[in-house]
Amino acid sequence: MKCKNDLDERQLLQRGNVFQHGLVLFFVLVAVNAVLKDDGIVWAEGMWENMLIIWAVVMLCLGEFAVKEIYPMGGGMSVIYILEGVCGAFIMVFGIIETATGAENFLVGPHTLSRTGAQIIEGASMVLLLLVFLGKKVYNRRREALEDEA
Amino acid sequence: MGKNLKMKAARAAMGLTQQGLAEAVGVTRQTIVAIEKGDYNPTVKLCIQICWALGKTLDELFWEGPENEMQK
Repeated sequence: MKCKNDLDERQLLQRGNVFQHGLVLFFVLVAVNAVLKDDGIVWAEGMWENMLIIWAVVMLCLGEFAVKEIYPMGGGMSVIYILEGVCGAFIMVFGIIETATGAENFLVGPHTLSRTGAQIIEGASMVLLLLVFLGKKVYNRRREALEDEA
Repeated sequence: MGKNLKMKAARAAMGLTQQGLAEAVGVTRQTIVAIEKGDYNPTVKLCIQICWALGKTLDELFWEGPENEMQK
């Protein structure tokens, strides 16, 4: 009943839904960004507008995978969540140190994120993703016993 | 879709846990949970495998009719 990548029929269905949500979010964010650009509003420095849009979509998909416990790469997904969480923590901490020491600013304009500001947000979201993953694991362990008894 | 209490009862009667049944039919435990809760409508192929694992027929576990309606 399981396919090559170890997802069963319900998980395959949910994986499709997750990708659908990601695609819709991507279209919405690109459209909003285009409207803002047309009005001359730049909300992040340089390439970081595009990077944050892509990252938001990746975050949504990985977050939904964690919550719904769909791991397309099996046990390897745990390593990915942990690695990206640790990397995110480093990115966030170094960004905060840079802004705290005054080496970089969080904003470069009234409503424009600096490179460091964007990195802090990206790092924080990576840490959040790891917390969601770990939280779901803990929640699942607690529920497992209860559901079997019910 | 309502809860499938018949499947839950059949599983319990066989002394199987949700994890045990999931391993027997080759799905995740969450899928068995979802079927029992009525949150997921399994394919006929999976229904048949569950029936084999629990020693029941499709009618006994999954048939919804006026005289054999699933718990809402």
